Amino acid sequence: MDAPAAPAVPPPSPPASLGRLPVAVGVLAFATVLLVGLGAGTFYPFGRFDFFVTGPQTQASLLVLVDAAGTAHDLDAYRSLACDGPLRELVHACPRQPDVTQVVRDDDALARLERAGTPAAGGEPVQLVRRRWRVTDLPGPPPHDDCQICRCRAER
Amino acid sequence: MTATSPWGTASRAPMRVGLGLLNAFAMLHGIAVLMQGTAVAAGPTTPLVHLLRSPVVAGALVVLAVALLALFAWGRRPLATGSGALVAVALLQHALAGLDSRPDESLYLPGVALLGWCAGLLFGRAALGETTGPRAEAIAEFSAAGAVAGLLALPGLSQLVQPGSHHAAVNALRSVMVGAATFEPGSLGGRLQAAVVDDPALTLTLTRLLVAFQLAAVVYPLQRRTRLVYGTGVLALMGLELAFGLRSVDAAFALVALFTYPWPALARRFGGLPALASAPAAPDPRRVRRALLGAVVVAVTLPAAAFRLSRDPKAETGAPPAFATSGPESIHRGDVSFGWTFAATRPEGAGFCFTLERPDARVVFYVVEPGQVAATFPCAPGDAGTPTMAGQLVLGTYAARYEASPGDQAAVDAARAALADRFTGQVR
Repeated sequence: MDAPAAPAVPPPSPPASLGRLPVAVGVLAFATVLLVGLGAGTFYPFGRFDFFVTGPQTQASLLVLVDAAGTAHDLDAYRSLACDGPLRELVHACPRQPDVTQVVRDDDALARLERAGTPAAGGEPVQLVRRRWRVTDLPGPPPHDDCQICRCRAER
Repeated sequence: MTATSPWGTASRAPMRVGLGLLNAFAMLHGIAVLMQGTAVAAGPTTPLVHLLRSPVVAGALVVLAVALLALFAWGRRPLATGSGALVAVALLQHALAGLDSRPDESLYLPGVALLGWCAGLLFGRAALGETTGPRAEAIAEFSAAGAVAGLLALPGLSQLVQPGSHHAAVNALRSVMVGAATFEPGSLGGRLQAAVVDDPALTLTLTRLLVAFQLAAVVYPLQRRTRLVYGTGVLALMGLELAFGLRSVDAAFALVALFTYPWPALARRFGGLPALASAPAAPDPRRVRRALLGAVVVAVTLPAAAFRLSRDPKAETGAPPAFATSGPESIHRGDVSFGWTFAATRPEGAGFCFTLERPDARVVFYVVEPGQVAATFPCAPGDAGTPTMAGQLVLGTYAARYEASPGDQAAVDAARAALADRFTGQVR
């Protein structure tokens, strides 16, 4: 009587033959990047990303549209928009924080404003402003001021 | 092993391709953003930076980096091509870093993953004698995942070791949130924004939770399940930033998704990516032990070297900060930069006070060394005019506070550029 054939056992896959070795390498890589980054600070591709701690982070600003009732709206709240004057010059005349994020956000906002269609008839009057906040240690909404940029007509 | 990686026994070649593509995309996108920000750029600081910023050299570096990343993705000498691409991107980043004051996570995360991948291949050469093939790439995957986790944990550890940083982080998070977007009154986004911005106690709790979450990144390379859970948490946080307009769907987002989810198993359901079947012999234990020992030595030596290089030797002897006494190239009273005159320079506490003057304006900066927090303004408050406009900014890796005449933001912008031009790259 023939012995039953042993079931075919699939060979271990290449990664399986390594056991826990890759995990050990991963943990070593974790520790090395963490400690080198802590020691070296920002040095590509190491970066502490601690600008929340040391950055220009008590001020913020945003381009917004303020309606007749004084309520601020995002630029996307309106479908079409027509503003008085050369938009880019007027926006740049209202100072912003000197960091590249603000520059990029300004450019994006301007592109959105320039892409917006013209209101068909009339539209509601709104004011384009740069709203600037100054965060203090006090609870409650941080105080802000508005740098007036130009008047616009907008349609939702 | 199959239980520890979401990719199981599948080939890591698609992961390598994704890593190469994401690095190429992140580099090109990062450069575009930095070039867009040239309006706030500091001038060239060193001959090397000046050279690298020339269009011809920068263009050549971009082409070289893209070509090397394409070869890496293709699997052609991945250790050499991946390392070469990293060097090319690092040079570009060094040249353009002065154009932006902040490292870009969408560029750094793919970069550190590529570094981890290459380090894993190097380990594969030492332990297995191979830098290509399934076994080497399985190690490279974990090495890359560990490197990504290390970078994700770094902000948390950095905040933990810096005294007073929690307080700064609270106001930073509040200011980021308030300036993130304008929500319609009564909307969910508006209520969430107000909850964080208006309540410093809640923001403090959130920042502490965020630090704990960042430090928990150590679980990312350990197990398939922990990678899935932690990676999903990271993506959820990124999604939250996305909802508040603080980021876009970028290379970092895609990279975390690439390493977190079992894409081969998902693809297999639709008929692609068969599992690997070959079974090479287990590696020689003695060779693996030697390689591990070497890796541990590197893991200890590199951080020690980084700490030594970044430490100011004069600080230990109580001498003023390095940038105050670095020789004739350092900033002196009477120096002129971009039409501004350095009317006064003096060491103060952990930093240095610089008073910049031009006929129509006067701005006083208090600059502290990297890793320090400019929590106060000890440079004769009111010296720039009374009442004053005050704020904070960064100069490369240095933090500064400033005071200027009220409403004169344009002067602050200009004086910052003048200071950064003399400051960045000359301070050591």
